[in-house]
Amino acid sequence: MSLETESPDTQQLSTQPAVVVKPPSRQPPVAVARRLWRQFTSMRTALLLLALLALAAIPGSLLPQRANSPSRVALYFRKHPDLARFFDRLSLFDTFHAPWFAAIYVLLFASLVGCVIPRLRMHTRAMLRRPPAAPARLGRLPQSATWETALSPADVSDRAREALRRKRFRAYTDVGDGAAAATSTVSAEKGYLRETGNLLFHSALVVLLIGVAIGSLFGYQGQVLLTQGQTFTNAVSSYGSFKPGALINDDSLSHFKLSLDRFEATYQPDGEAKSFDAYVTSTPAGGTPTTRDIRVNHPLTFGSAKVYLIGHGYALHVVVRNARGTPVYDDTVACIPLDLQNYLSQCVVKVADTGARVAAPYTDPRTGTVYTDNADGTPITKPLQYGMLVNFAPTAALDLAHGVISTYPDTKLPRAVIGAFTGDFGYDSGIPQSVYSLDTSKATQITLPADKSVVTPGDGTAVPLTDGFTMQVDGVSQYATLQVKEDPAKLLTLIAAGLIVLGLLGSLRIRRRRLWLRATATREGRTLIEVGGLARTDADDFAREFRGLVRRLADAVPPAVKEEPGAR
Amino acid sequence: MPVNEAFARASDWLLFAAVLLYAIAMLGYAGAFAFGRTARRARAEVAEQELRAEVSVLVGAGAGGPSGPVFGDGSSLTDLDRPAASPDAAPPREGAASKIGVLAVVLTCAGWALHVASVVCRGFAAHRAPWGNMYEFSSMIALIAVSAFLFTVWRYSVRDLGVFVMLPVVVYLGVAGTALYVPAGPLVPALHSYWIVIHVFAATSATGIFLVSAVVNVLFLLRERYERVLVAGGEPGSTRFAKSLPASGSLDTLSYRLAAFAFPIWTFAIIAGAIWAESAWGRYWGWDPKETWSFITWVVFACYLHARATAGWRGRRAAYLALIGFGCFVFDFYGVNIWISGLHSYAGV
Repeated sequence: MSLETESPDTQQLSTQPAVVVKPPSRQPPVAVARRLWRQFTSMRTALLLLALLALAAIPGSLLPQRANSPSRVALYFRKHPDLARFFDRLSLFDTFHAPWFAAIYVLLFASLVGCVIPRLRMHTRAMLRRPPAAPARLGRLPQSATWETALSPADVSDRAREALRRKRFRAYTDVGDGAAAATSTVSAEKGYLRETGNLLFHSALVVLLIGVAIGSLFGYQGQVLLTQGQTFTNAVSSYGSFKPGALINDDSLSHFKLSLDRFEATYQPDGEAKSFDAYVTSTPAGGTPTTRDIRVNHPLTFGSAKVYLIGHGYALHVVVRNARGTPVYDDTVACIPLDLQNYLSQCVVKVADTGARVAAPYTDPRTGTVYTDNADGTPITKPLQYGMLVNFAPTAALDLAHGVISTYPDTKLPRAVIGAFTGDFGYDSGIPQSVYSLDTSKATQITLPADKSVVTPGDGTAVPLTDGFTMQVDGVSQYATLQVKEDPAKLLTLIAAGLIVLGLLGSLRIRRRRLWLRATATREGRTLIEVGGLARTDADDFAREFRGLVRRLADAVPPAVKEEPGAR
Repeated sequence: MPVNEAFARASDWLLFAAVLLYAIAMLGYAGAFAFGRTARRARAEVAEQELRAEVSVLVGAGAGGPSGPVFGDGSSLTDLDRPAASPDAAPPREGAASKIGVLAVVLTCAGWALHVASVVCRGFAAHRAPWGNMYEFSSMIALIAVSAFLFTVWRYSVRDLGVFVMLPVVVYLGVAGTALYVPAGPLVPALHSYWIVIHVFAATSATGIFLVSAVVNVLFLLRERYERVLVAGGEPGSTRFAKSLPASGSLDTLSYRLAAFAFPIWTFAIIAGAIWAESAWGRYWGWDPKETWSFITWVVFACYLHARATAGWRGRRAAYLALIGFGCFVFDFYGVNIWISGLHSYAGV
């Protein structure tokens, strides 16, 4: 893959003899492989792969992606089950981790490396070599000029060389010997940095990819939810969700401890968020605790790990008491926002251990006989368990279509709508459960009195459940979702990105051009000067530059005054 | 801090005045383009005859030429300091059409000044960089497009293209000022960062310049078709108006130069966005729809730059690639915000 110099125009303009490749009559395998490799590293292949890469990225932006929004992927599966299964077989919900996507960019980078390495060699050689010798007829070049001077050819070439070097050309003189002593030439070239920039750009792209790869192998990303007062220790087991790199274990994590003291959110009157602050006490490994403020755009740094504030929400303090008034459950549950604008949230309360058991009659599936007692005469029982689905609205309002909704994200009129269930929720099934969902398929809803199904947190309302148990929402607090990310190759990636821009600037803004001057002694005892110029890329502005250069050269090598006045 | 209403109103009125001036300038360019045609064609023919005569004189004169350097095209250093055969060269122009053209440029400059003032007032009204929502992006992109156009007029004498650049600018600002308009206001916390200045400025600058490049590309395609029809010996027919456009070669070069200027800026905008994302969202790249489309746009323009250097792809095919690239830009800036939900959704319609 390369820029510009492969184009047919510049090859025609080049004064070097064209290399004629004779096709061998019989192709040995090595030659076939070499030809295939040359085709693979050609610009045409690179173009094709680039276009493919752009096309391949499109589904990733139009379809929900598992990495970004798993819930929207699940929704898509519910809405279009057949189509979703088909898309899933093509890994379209994981586009950017799909094997075919990787195949395209790996091929692209292989093609790129295959092209950059030989060009790096060629360019180094060109930098060390003198510009090519002057072509025979300078007047044939796209830009040319002639004049006569009284100076000797050797003088002319010396002065011209100096003039060109002042214009930062690489210029060399070539004085003919013997019969050609009457001729002297200057070859000059400028703009080598163009190819340097071009190669820098393409090499930096490869380094960038390496940086990304190192980051995904040796880095990790984890999310943790902290309610006020909770403490978090950086270890794999402390995370709610953890995406480790392939080569990560507990020892590679930076050691630190964090506890959330307070979370504060402020809003505009129209509900737009104004600021979020998570006030934390942080303890680095072997350090002393300090209080810090984590805000959006202002992460906390522990060595190579950074802690970001990426989300927040409400948490309810729920207490369940038995018939004697003894608390059997007392916990703060984090609620998942259903509406990110006004924070109507859903909280799941799982009361697995109430200390009580209830009768559990057994129906024989074959005979339909109902057994209430065991063989020894004791009643069949199971543990009494509860599950609650609480909808929390920070500023509640009644909507005819949707019931209780929230109209503002701050707690202006906080209300909790309680749905309580009892039965079997699979708490003891041994299958791991999400703390944010409740399986009510084998449970029955408890009918609550109308005045107790919607409560104000902290007002002391005891919501009656079954068997004399009651539930109370004791208060509201806020939680913060923190993301911890460690990427050891971040600096390398950043440097590569900087070099990409630098290389691009060089390869797109700098033009490469050549200039030759030939001074020949004439029979009249003067010296005829011929100058020819060639821009190897973007030739349009070169005409203007060439005139400027000729003016400089004519200043250095003044024209001889004509004896006979011109016809003009 | 509350919104400064006086500045907010001033910004709206200044933009309105700027659009008005742009619209009048557009009419001026259109007039100069339409009425300048006949005169220009006649002049071009005369110039060509003169050139031929000059060459024959030089050839006939033999040794008796001027005493300084003589160039390959027969000119000397004492001639106009501009190569006679340069396709960029604007023929000297006189007459009413030309005066209208100059007036149009003056009006564009005046509109540009008001436009700058409008953006600055918007910033003072909201106490922040005025690049926080789609209305503000659009105004900024149009401002950069006009700046890029004025620069090309100054550098490459392409005043004739004025009508084609100002038409999309005026329509664009009209849409921005009505459909996309939102009152000045503060930003959501995710945007509280100095990176908004760097990232959004780079992104809007690149887009504004790509806009002008795309306009020139469309003109190139029209002119190229016209030239092909002529070479084939056919009748220009529907492509006739392309007769007064600059040669396809110069249009191609101009659109390439603008794209080659904007591409590193766009690259920088993506990188600045990644650095910002690293500090705001905890990762520098996450294939958010906006990121994905920025990437697609980047790849398509990389394709275009490579195509221009590949045999069989330069010219028409490369121009189509550049237009596809610009289409991706439009989708990236508007489609993603309007139809796809992602982290950039707060950019506000």
